[in-house]
Amino acid sequence: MKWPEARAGLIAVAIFFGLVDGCPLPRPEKTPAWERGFVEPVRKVQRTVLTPVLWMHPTLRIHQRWSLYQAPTADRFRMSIEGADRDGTWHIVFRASDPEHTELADEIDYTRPRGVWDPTSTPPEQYRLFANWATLQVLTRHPEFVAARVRFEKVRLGTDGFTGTGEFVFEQGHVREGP
Amino acid sequence: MIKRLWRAWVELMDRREPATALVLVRISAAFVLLCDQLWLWHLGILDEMWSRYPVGFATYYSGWADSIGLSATGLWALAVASLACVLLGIATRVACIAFVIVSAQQAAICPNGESAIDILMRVVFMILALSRCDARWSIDAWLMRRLGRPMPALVPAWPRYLLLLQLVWVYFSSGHNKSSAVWGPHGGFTALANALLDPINGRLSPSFVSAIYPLTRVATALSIVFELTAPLYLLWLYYAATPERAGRLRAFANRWRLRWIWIGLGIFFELGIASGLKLGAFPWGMLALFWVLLLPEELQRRNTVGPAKRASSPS
Repeated sequence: MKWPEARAGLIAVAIFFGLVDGCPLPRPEKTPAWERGFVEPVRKVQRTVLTPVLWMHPTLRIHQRWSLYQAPTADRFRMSIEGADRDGTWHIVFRASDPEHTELADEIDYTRPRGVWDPTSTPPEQYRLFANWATLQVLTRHPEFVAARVRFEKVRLGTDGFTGTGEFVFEQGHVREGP
Repeated sequence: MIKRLWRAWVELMDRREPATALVLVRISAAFVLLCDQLWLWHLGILDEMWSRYPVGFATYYSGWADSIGLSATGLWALAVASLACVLLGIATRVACIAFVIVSAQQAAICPNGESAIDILMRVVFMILALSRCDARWSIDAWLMRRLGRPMPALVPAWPRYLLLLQLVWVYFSSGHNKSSAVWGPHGGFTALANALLDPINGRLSPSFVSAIYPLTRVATALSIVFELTAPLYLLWLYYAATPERAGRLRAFANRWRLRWIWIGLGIFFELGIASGLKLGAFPWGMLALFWVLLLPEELQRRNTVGPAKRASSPS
């Protein structure tokens, strides 16, 4: 076999693996019951076919399933970082989309750090680590605070902006130790 | 039949063309990623991103960077150095591989701290490493010329084809993975408006988004059409490259410039989300790949090198 043939074959194989990897199968936990009968066998075949290249996922961190802005629904969240003084009053330090409360914005409001706390329907895997770090930052920078927390208010998007629901979720707190 | 198809495939993968598109992708992509990395340094959040608690919010993953005692700043410096080398074309292919390895390590340490563009760029840089993207406008090319061994004017075209396929696939895959009703008529095509109004990611004022709300519905419909018709771009491109052949669809596609409409929609889409959403390097990284959508002769009009031609010898 000559080099052009071998190269064309290798390229075809690479494209084949890419297409198999990119096959749009729903995640196991998000597969509706009625789809499982045919989705699970296809997933099994997909995994078997991809066996020679499965090492690439954890090593090179690449894949061919692209889900960009998959579900920007009207039910969203607004994150706030707060500190509590000795009277138990909570003060906002940072709140998303709030020009009045921008402390820590440089550190957390760029795309990359935002990825560790911006939830889809659930918080990202690193959210707990982020909340630990953020609350520690608040307590370090504000000796007047005895506790700090990160939480998200559920908001509802309308045609003219968002409205807070008053319901808070994903709360993570940190109480100052010592006297 | 299969034999003929195989021969056509081998011939296609053996074509050569001027390196311009690959070179422009190399320079544009490295520039975008370099700006992104330098912006992190400007914000002073290198330790936060890739160090563990209490310094940062990275995971407890321990890889080769830990094994050799490389700090968050050290890892970042390696990424910046490799990107600078790719941008300037210094040991370009080695630098491309180095960037992929460093970027994958950054991703392992802080997986939520990266977006789709990082994953895509690791694929792109692997393809660039196998290409002659250093054949022009690079220190490598200058050095080889000085040594009396200039790089070839025509380079293998298959890396550009792969990048083209990758770009088309990203959009198509993204389109068919959008299962939410807000992308369609049942959800009122409200996806883009929702994204623009999101208190975390939106950049525009709610009153402005409210004023252009009907337009956002049109833009949502157009972006879904743009993504789902991405594979057709390959056909429009083929028609544009072979205008002398017969066929009504070919004549229609070429006369109505369907290819340029698709490219225009893509540029509009990426610039739109760059101005309306806080997405960092993502839209610029996507645009950095758009060079591969052009025919070689479209990039060569003002150049001395001739148009693309088929290879007469194996590369």
